[in-house]
Amino acid sequence: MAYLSLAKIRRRKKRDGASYWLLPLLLAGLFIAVLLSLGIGGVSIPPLASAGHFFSYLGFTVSDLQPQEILILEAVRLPRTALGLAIGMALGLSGAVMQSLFRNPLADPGLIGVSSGAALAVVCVIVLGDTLFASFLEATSSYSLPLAAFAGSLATTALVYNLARREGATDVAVMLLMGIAVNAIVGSFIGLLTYIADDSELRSLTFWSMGSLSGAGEATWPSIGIMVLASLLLLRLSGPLNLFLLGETEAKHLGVATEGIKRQAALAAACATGAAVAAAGMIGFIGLIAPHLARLIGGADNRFVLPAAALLGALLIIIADTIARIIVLPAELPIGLVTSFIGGPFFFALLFREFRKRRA
Amino acid sequence: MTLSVNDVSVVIGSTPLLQNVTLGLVPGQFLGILGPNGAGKSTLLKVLSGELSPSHGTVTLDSTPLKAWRDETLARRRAVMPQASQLAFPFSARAVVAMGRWPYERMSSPFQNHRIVERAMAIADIRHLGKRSYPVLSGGEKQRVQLARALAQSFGTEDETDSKYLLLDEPTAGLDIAHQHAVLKAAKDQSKNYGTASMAVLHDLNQAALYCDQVALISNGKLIASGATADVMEPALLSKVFGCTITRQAQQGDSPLSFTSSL
Amino acid sequence: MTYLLKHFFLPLMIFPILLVSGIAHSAPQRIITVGGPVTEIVYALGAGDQIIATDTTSKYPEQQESLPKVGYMRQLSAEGLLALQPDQIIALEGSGPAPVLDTLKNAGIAVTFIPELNSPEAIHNGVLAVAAILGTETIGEILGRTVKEKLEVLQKQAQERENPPLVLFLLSTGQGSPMTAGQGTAIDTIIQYSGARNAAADLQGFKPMASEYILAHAPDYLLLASRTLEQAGGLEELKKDPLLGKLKAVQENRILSLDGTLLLGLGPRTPEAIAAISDQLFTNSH
Repeated sequence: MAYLSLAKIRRRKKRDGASYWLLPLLLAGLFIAVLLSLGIGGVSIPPLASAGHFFSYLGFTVSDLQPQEILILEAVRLPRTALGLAIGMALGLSGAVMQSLFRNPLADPGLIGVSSGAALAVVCVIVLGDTLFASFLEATSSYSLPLAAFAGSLATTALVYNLARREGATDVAVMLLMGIAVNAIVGSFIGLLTYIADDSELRSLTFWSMGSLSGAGEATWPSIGIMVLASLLLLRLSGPLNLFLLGETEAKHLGVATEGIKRQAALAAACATGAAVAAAGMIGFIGLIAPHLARLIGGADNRFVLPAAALLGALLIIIADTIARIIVLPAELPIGLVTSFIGGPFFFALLFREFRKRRA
Repeated sequence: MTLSVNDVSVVIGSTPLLQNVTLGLVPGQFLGILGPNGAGKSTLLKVLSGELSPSHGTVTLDSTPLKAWRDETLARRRAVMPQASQLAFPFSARAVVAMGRWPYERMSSPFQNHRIVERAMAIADIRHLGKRSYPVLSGGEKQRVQLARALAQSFGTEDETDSKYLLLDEPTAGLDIAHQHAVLKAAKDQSKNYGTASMAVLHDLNQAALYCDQVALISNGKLIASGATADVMEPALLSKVFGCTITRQAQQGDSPLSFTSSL
Repeated sequence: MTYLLKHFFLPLMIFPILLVSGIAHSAPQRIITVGGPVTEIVYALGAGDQIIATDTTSKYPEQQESLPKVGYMRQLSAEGLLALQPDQIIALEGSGPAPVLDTLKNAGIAVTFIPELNSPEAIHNGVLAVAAILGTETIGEILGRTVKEKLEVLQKQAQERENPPLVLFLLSTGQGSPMTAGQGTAIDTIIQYSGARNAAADLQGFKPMASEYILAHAPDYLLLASRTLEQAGGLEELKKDPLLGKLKAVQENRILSLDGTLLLGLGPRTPEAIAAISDQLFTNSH
């Protein structure tokens, strides 16, 4: 046993450890999807032509795109794609992290109030904006909705987190229950404000809750920045989060500073999801599906699952947004509708697969 | 140089779980904790592992309060095998064992980690399960994976000199008889060969007598007796603590102590 | 009746003549209209053939139904709009999202916002603004002023009425509490200008109304969208409705109906609609 050839060890490591080799493949897939998605839409641009156009900036090729095509590419599709990539990454990662933190494959950031908090804040601004928060609206102008959404999600998460604190320690099970209670209360306030809302406010709310990347532009750059930073922090937690899956006590016995990890994970996931909701409204199912897909193709090791969920989340958003953009031209479908349309059946498939495996 | 509890009491609400217990784990010795259900055995293990803070008294490792140790440093000194560990995600058994090497991530080479994981798996007799998904293993197999994980953690690195502590919470529960012996032998070997201070919460008197160097007897949260196995495991005392008639077979030469019990 | 003739029908007869002369001297553009009233105004100014697409809130006139729809006015798609290659986007205030329209402006497409048409004055200005874009200022001035004056006349008439009847508007009948229209809605204005009182005046916007409240208020007239009345199965079926059948207004056939496309906002057709309701309210009883 003490004697194992190096080659054999390498092979074993690959088999038993994380499937890191899949990550470059996913990245390549994402790159191709982005290139294709940049070409598809109301005006179609051949992927090679758009690639050629970008390379022309480096002096390699000469762009043969029309001014209108360049405009669509650079002013419309590029910011959208950037926002989509950041949101997919943020949602996929936050989902994977929450599932590890709660040791539950069905967990998502919504459980600790991220989405409901953002929704309440946005409803407040839309419905009461003119009367109660006029000065806030004036001071923040086009940033008011994103700011409110972001602040709302952070505030609710902090509330849930602190309610679950007992003698300096946070019990994740208690956090889950507090999350349910806080979500219920927040939901009732949203209902109340929805009742007060007038017709056009209602329409705004409805569309906000279905998500859209059409707000992409200068106002969304801060959100993208927050998502990228929070995602980097979340990625760093992959090792300790693996041990979390064994149980909190076990993780602590293995030397993980569990309280710190919980705080960082909750905060970073709230920031990432909050910024995503702020920039594009509610986009469901990505946080659930991306980590599941990652585990399906490469095992449960978080050192693989986290980066893979980020890449797959981004890939799913790019695909969903492309569909949303072209399916009802010249109008566009809210992207949240598309992700739910894909997500619902996918979730069924996952469940049935799980049942079959259990029976076998 | 020990992991010890000094005059420790644990009170939850108004129920005392442990009362004024003083006990130390000695490097190179395998300590068995015996006592009836609800006596406070697992509570004692939780206090020693740092999972539970005592209401009164102190827990120290190398004379330093356990609380003052950083989680990371402490993890390189003591490993815990839990009673039951569920995992909802499809990690391979081998990956779970490899988690035991986490505290040494930065101080031990992948090659060394790999060898240690292999060794721990061989001791726990789970090498054939390596690629199987942990959640679908049987209860006993899961126990052995957890043992291997704790062993991998307590193996440390080659250049360490500090003594290690291995805490096993009912390690034989749910195992077949052969594997029960294998687990206890592993703990004893760990003490004998590497100078580890091992401790296990046990129920079988004969197994305790066979493998443990020392025994602590606990009843109603109080430490009744502790010391060398042969001294503590007096039939009269055991009968009183467990509330049934326990007799000790006459010893022949070097044969281990052997007990029978009846109501 | 001479009053009506002078204020409504004369201007209407002048329109066609002016329309033809008005369009002649402006180059045709590719226009996208966003917001029902804006679409109506462009058609009323005779420039309907320049519209290449409208939004989903545009329901009138029928000709525009064959045009591509660019989605809901607050949820426009930059790409969809750009792909249609418009020269000009005329949008009701509140259309968006703002970044989408900013992108279009940056692309060199003229984007004009028309303030909400919530008063006779606003309609006048709105029509003028649209006409300025179309190069049909002359007709615009006439149409705008006519609509405004007609509304002002109606408003004056309404204020002079003694014992204005109580009118309740219901958006839907059948399951659940029916929706009614309170203050700040176009319905409220239509009811008031036709010389009646809105039974839901103490509510804001569109709200569901409790059944007890409907019975307690006992409106003199029930105002329904024509489609709602059809869905209910006509007047006879409405009389069998457990709630509405108990209303005196229903039992005594005092039901007013209104074209659904008029409910959403004020526009060039609003004076006619108001006059028609006013007619039903006051000619019957005299």
